[in-house]
Amino acid sequence: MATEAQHLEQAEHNRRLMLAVDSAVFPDWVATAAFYAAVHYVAALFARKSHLAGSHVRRNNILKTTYPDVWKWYRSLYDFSRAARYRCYQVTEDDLAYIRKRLDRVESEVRPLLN
Amino acid sequence: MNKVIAKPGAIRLNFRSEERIVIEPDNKDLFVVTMREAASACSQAQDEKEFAVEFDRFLFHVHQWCEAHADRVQSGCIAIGDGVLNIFIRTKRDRFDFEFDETLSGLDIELVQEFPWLRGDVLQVPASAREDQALSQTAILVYGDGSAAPRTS
Repeated sequence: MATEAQHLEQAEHNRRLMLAVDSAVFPDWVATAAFYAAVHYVAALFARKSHLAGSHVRRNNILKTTYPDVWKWYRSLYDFSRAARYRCYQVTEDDLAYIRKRLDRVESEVRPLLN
Repeated sequence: MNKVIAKPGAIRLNFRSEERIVIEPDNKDLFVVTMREAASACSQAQDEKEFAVEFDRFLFHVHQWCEAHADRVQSGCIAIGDGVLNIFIRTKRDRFDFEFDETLSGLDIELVQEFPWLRGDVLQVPASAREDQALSQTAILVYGDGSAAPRTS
């Protein structure tokens, strides 16, 4: 199983991808990369707190019941990236401003919990 | 299950008993089961009855929430997806409504607190999202005009 440090590294890696992708051409993939960065911030938290979450269902449930302040920002990324991936929702630059802000909020909620 | 005091002389079904009993259905098709099997069947039927009541309470809760947010919500429906319940909330805006997002997160947390058995997520569907015909037919509409069902994964 990956460690907390490895998850943080992967979160940063995915965040770099989010910044590297041309958002004018692939805005949907920016949203997806943002979501998967958030997944790894949360996975780092779970590694620290010894939560086992092998699926989105379990991860979401632990967040809702134990870390509602993380969930309220994470949920947005989860919901939006699903719309972009599966419902062919046409993502715009305006949407991405919210998405980036929410990823920042997930990180800023998670970091203090790792100290 | 509610605690009930049995009256004297009431028939008792013991979960450990292998004693055989005869069931007499209305169609006269008699059959024999052990007391243990009969007790299990009664327990299962009671659980199903209680779950149906609890599920109705959940549907009504989502309906009331939609009604309370009628200024932003066009419709709401519940569907099974990926082994969990998807609570689709179709908004009145064509674009994803980020301003409404925190309110939806509130509903999500409220639901898991009120219904601990629930495994499901609240998902926002912008008014412009296309409908999935199959899902429209299987989803349970709890609020609005029936145009809540979106494409699902």
